[in-house]
Amino acid sequence: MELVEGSDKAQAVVRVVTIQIEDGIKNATTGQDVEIRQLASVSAPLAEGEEVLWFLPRDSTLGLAQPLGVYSGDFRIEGEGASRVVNNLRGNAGLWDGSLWAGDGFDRSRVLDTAAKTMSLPPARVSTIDRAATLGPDNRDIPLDLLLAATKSRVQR
Amino acid sequence: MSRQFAIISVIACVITQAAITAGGPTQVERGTALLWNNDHPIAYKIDKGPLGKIDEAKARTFVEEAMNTWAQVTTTRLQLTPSQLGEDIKTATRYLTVAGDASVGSIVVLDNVGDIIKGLYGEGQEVNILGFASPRLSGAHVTRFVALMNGFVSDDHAMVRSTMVHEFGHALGLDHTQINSGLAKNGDPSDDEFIPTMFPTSGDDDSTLMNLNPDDVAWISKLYPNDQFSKAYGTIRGKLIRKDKTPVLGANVVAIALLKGREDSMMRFSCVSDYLMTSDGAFEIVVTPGSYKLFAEPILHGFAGGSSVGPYAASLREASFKNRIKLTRFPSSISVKAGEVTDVGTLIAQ
Repeated sequence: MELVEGSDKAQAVVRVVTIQIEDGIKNATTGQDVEIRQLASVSAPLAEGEEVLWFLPRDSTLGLAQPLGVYSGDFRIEGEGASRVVNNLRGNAGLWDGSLWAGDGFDRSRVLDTAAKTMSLPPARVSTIDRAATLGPDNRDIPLDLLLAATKSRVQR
Repeated sequence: MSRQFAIISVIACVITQAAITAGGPTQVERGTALLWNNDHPIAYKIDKGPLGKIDEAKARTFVEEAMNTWAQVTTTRLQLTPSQLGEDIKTATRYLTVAGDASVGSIVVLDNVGDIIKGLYGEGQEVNILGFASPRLSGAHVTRFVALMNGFVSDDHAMVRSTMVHEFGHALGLDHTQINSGLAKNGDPSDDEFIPTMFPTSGDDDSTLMNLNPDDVAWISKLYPNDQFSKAYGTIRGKLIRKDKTPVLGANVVAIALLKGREDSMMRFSCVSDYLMTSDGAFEIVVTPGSYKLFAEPILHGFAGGSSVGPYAASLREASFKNRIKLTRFPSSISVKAGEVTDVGTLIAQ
């Protein structure tokens, strides 16, 4: 990821973030680099090389985009390999109530099936997802695998 | 560095998140809070046009009432002078031009149907963001602010008015506080009256945020005191450090009045350790006279970015979220008199 500061057409300072896509879920191609232009004054600090999982809207007519909800859709990734976890800039507060499986949005079998088949995760990591989904997410890191599997299960519908 | 605050409503993403989206000053530099020079009235202009389903006259009334909520605090000296901007700002491009033009002065932009939000943040974001405010600095003072209210989410008038009071608190230089965070989303709207206006996110009943709580009143008074301030408030001063004697940067220190019943939850005042970025863990809590106990707690993970509490929480990599302290209660009772400073010395956090 590369950060460049410049000016947009309206002379407002913009931040250009270049992201190398490691895993594109929807409307993003794995392996490509994309440039995202953001108003610097409404952007949370970001370090070069930092790993993120961003849920982005379509660019505005000015070519600007922030993660959805600005902070809610801005997940920062920590850790390495299979133990990578995510926390958004809202501390994952309110992502789900109690258990992800108890809400009306995610089907447990579909999410776990996505993890096992689409993402080719070994059974131990699928079990980790299942356990993590039954714990409240507030102020707690959640496995990257879980967020990816849940998202991909929805996108595949 | 200028900080901007946004209230976020709902993330319309793969996962539904229920959130909208004062303990201290918003901007500090080298041990000094950067504030308005209140020797002069703070003039601000209100954008023309309606705010969604709220007509122009009512929207203007809401703005002025929200601003006056702060100016009418009896222990503060703030003069506010509203006027009308000569145009209705309708596009993000025009917003950027006006917001970037210091000669325009302070403005409250009424984004009628969320088109400006959409242009600034991306398509569809108008459902996510209620509004934002950004104080702008020149030298050692705040000299103007830019605030925007999103009319796309204007059905709930109480929410709109609460958002305005909160955002204008930022415009006047106030930071967030996390007092009574456990009550914000506990499913019980009846206890949300104990949540300060400058709490970063939504609770179960956000209409209560339009009424200032003791912590809000104390801090606006501390930042802009009038001659009644010293008769009404005292100060608890100290430093928060770790066992290894290093200062705690960016933890929350709370003073709870030794009262019973409702007042036990209401009379809470806070300050983030090292709030003036002096690198010594110093805090100052402005309180009404009485007896208090203190506790220190980490800043909640959710209060980063635009929901940040204190100067060390802009991202999860900053000091508030690294090597976090544990909840530490300090048993000694502290007596505070009006106009006096009670120095509690150095407190050791766990």
